[in-house]
Amino acid sequence: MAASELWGEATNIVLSWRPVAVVLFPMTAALVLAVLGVKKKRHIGFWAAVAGCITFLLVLSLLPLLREGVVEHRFADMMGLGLMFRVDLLGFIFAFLMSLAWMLVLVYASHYLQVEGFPVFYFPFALLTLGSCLGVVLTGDLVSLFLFFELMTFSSFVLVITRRDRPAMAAGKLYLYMGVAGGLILLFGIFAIFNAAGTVEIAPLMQELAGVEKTGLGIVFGCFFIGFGIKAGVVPLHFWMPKAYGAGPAVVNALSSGAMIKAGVYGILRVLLLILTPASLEWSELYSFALSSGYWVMWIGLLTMVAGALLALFQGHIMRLLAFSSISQVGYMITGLGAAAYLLGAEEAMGYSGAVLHAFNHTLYKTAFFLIAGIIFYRAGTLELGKLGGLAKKMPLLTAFFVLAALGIAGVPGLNGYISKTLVHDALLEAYKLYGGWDIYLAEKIFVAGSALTLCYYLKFFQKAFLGEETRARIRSAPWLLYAPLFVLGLFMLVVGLQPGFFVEDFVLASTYAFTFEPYGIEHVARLDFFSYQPLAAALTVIITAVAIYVPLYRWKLFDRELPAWFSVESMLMLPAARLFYQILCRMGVTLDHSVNRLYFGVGGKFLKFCRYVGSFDSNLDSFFEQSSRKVYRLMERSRELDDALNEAYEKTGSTARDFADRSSRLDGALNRAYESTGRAARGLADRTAHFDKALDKTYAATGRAARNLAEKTTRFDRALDKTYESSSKTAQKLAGKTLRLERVEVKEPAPTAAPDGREKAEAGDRKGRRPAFNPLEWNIKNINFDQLLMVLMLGIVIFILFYYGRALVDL
Amino acid sequence: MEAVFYNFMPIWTVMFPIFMSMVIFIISRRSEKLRDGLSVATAVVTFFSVAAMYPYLAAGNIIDYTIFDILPGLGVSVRVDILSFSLAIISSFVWMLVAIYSIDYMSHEHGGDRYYPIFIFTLGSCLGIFMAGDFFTLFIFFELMSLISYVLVIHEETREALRAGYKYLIMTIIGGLALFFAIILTFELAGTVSLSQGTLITAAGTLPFLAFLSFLVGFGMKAGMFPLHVWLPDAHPVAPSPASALLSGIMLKTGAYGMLRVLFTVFNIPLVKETGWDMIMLVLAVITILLGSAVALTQEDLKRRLAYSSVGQMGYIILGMALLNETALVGDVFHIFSHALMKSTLFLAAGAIIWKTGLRNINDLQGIGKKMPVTMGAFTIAALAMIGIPPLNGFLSKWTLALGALEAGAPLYVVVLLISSLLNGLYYLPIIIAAFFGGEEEEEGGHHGEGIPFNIQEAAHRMVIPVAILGLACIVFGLMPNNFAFELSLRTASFLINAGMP
Repeated sequence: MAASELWGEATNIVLSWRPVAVVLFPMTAALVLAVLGVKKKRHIGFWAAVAGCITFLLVLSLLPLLREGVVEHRFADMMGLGLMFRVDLLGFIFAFLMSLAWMLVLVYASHYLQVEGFPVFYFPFALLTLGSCLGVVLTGDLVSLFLFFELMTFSSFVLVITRRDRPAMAAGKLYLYMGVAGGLILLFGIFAIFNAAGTVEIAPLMQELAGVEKTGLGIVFGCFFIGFGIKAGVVPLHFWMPKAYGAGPAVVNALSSGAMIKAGVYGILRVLLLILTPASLEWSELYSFALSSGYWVMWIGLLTMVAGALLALFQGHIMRLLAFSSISQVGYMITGLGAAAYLLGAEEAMGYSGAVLHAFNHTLYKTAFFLIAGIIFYRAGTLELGKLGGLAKKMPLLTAFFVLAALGIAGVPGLNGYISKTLVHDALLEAYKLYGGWDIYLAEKIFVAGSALTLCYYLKFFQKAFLGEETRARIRSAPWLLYAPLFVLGLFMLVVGLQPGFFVEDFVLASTYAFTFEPYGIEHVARLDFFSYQPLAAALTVIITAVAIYVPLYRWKLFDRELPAWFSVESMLMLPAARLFYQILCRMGVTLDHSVNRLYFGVGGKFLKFCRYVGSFDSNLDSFFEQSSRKVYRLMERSRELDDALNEAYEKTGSTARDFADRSSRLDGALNRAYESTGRAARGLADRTAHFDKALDKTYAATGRAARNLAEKTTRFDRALDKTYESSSKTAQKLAGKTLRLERVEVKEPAPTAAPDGREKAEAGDRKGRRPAFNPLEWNIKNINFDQLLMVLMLGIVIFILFYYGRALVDL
Repeated sequence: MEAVFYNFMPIWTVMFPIFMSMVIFIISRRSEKLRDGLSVATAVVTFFSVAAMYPYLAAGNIIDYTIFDILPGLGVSVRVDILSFSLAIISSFVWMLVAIYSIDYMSHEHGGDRYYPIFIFTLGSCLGIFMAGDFFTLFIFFELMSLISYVLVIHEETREALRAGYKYLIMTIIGGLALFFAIILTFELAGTVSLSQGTLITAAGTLPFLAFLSFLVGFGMKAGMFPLHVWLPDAHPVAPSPASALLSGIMLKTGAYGMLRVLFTVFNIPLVKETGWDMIMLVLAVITILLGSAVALTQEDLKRRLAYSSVGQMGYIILGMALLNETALVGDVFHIFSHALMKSTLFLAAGAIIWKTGLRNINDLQGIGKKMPVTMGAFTIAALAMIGIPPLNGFLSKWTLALGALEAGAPLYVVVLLISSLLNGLYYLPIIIAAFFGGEEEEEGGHHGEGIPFNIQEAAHRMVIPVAILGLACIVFGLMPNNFAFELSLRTASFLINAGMP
């Protein structure tokens, strides 16, 4: 076989840094541009285009190495598992189509982006996405693939939101969340493979997985299919695409549709046709899983194809139409892959080569379509089909390119789409031949219908935009730079269409060396004549069907109807599912969290209440105790007071008693003293009495003497008196005689005057004796009287009392 | 001679910060600069002291030294094996960076004189937990750390903080009591609580089960395990951001560390498997993961969201150890490393943003990434690592954990991990998107809400550099072949599988 001469053996491994360089160069360039791009906004586009071209050349530089064998480079144990680059021919084909699309789009974007106001992030992130896309197809194990796949999701998110307006942000978020969810689902599949097979290498692993149950394998494959299918836009998972494309500029959509969705297709291809297949050609039970999953994948592919085409038919916005077209085209590839797996062990090469070649073709014409849409937007300023018209006259060159691409995508013989569609169609026919049955027959008919629908919506596109009334929009001129990529793409389309053998045999069929395909099937494809009667007739059938569908639709103007918003997978299935997921988890989580919290608070509250109850009981008890204790206390206080009082009383009494005693002792002393003094006084008195007695004696004596004296005197006086009397009587007689004579003159004369004189003298003497009565020494029995004694006694008592109390007062 | 030196090392490592906290307390009255400098110096010296033990431990030795015995089998002792070392090294590393970060952060806060001594003391007691040679010593340091860190929780002294602190305190005390009960039971059953005696309890029964449950409550309280997690989302956000980083990044791990010791030293794998006690932990871990992630999604406050995320992540760690196989344990220990780095990065970055803008609500952070690119860049790296995006460290730990789950024959746990990752994505990505790409649509719409102030720039260098180092560590530990952390995880796992015997 020619292929094996051209390319190295799969077993021959060439170690080279080049795959690493291919991946790292755009990433490094992205970093440099991100740093430099802040200042030189205008030149960044040029350098990005240069970086894109260099990357393309680096990818091409892998070719000579591939002639020797499979190129590999391993970083042992990076991320704990190892990072492994491995390039075989299939990876190269995908890398080639990606870098080609990128190079052309970057060249185009370097000028085009001025209509979008040169978003700063576009170029660095476009290059980063290129690096990660290349990483996806150039790695040799699933973990490395996953690494680049996630990186691609994140960097391409920035591309999706290039415009930063509300729809772009909404679409970007949807894209990112779906990408992350898909990535995680994919990761589960990788876990499962690694756990069951012990390796994540991209190689036939069915022998290692033989022990796994069918359902388990089905789940694993389902994970891979969903993970990659989200990126590829397989039908129930496609709905991010119209939103993202509708909100993004042409240069982003061209990359996304032209190259990035191929990464998803590539992943499904590797898993379905390589990992889940046995490593030997010998027919065994191991094939059965691939066969049954291939059957389902084929049907999903057909569904995607027809649904995408039908929905595209009713779009009024060019970007959305192209988005659904991309979905539909992915359906072709998936159908091809499904058919290949379904035919495994027989004609699998037919489906495989159809799918791979279709991926390549799709890159060519879908990139071209988006770039054409970009030019329409650039020149006319709108992408609404309703506002466009008559562009054919204003832009003849563009119209030519459009027709070329549309014929290519519709599968008209002579152009590239025809070749790949024929291969997929033949694969379905082979399946019918091999298995028979009405379902495969139906599948083939659906395929034809889907192809016809594709032609229909491009006819619609053409008629609305390029024919009919001329648009009123102002038409700008576009530089040649915007057309240059279209020339390249057109050239490729023609070459593939007219020289299919080169691509089919030397590249696509040759790339099967990494797979365990039946050589017979490969040979069959190689011998296929694309320009024989049967495929040409099939193409004609498609065209006739398309016209049969298109004419009535056009007549009744059914195209202008937009589909209702609820009529989509998103609003019918995905949104409710996502909402349900969100509700279940978040609601449940929040409810659980709250209820746990509430439970704690409840228990805590109950406990607190109990504590309070106990506390109130306690406080009651406490107050009882307190009260009683207060009472007791008070009692004690009282008793203490009493005690104190008693004490005090005792003390007082004591002190009084002491006082009393003191006093009494003092009294005693005083009495003593008083007795003493009284004694003394008594003695004195006695003495005095004695004196007195003596004095009295003396006095008696004196008195006696005096009395004798007195008596003598008295007698003398008596005699004197007698003499006086006698003299007086003589005188009186003499006088009487005279008086008698005088009687008549003087009546009376006082009788005796002398007697009173004597008495007077005695009385005076008495008085003289009484006057010094206070001198007791002069007292005598004659002059003493009771009054005086009493007074003396009382005076003595007063003095005594004064004396005594005076002592007491001094004491106090 | 060498052995004597290394016996002394853990004592020094634990006591040095505790001693220095007193010194800092005294110094803080004199000079603020000296206080800050001493705190950083203490953290750095502690880190290098821990690191200095590595050569001895790497040679397969275990530092085991009894300081004194109270009763036979009950005393104060230190023990450093590879598990202790793993946790001690990541703790002191993060602590060191947070200490540097604190200087500028705390300069605008009140109560720095209180903050720094407590901050350093907590480091000492945290290391004390990891280096304790028996459960009695562990318990002492556990309680010390729990109670002292209360001061960090209530640092702001707002009503909210005091409430949260009260909750934290109550729960901590309950946990401490449960732990104490468990230790008493273990002592009763085994006659010793030393970590170096091999398996302590070998037979199942009511009392061992009671001990297991009590341990689970005691350590689960600290680790934020459902249904004992309720203090965590309240306490972590109210603390100052550097303290939140430590509370979430490091101190939660003390609970995880305790659980590892319980599973592999107090009990052993056959016993736990035979009795089915691991199912209790697995179920609780699954609920913790889903609950933490789901509730985080509904939080508007940035730091509260991070705190709930911590609950989920601790669920991973509990899940990993409860799977009881070596692969899961590798992932488990590595996730302890990863989460410490990621969550510290996130909290410190959030702290820098709050410090600069005063905004905590994530809806207000539109366009912050353009104003503070390094901070938000580190935040983005850590958040992506949380989601489990390769080649970041979170992916590696999640990968290993998932393989462990599959090895245990339970793909259900892988699904749980992935659902949680998806939820992580759902609550982290909007922050990142808003930070880097938000704000422009608002301008077009013409309405300006309470946005970030116009003149915001990157925070101070001493805040940005620790954040950047931690963010870089997330990449390095994920990408680098045979990195130090992964190596340690591998050795720790095999060490634990051999029932704590080298």
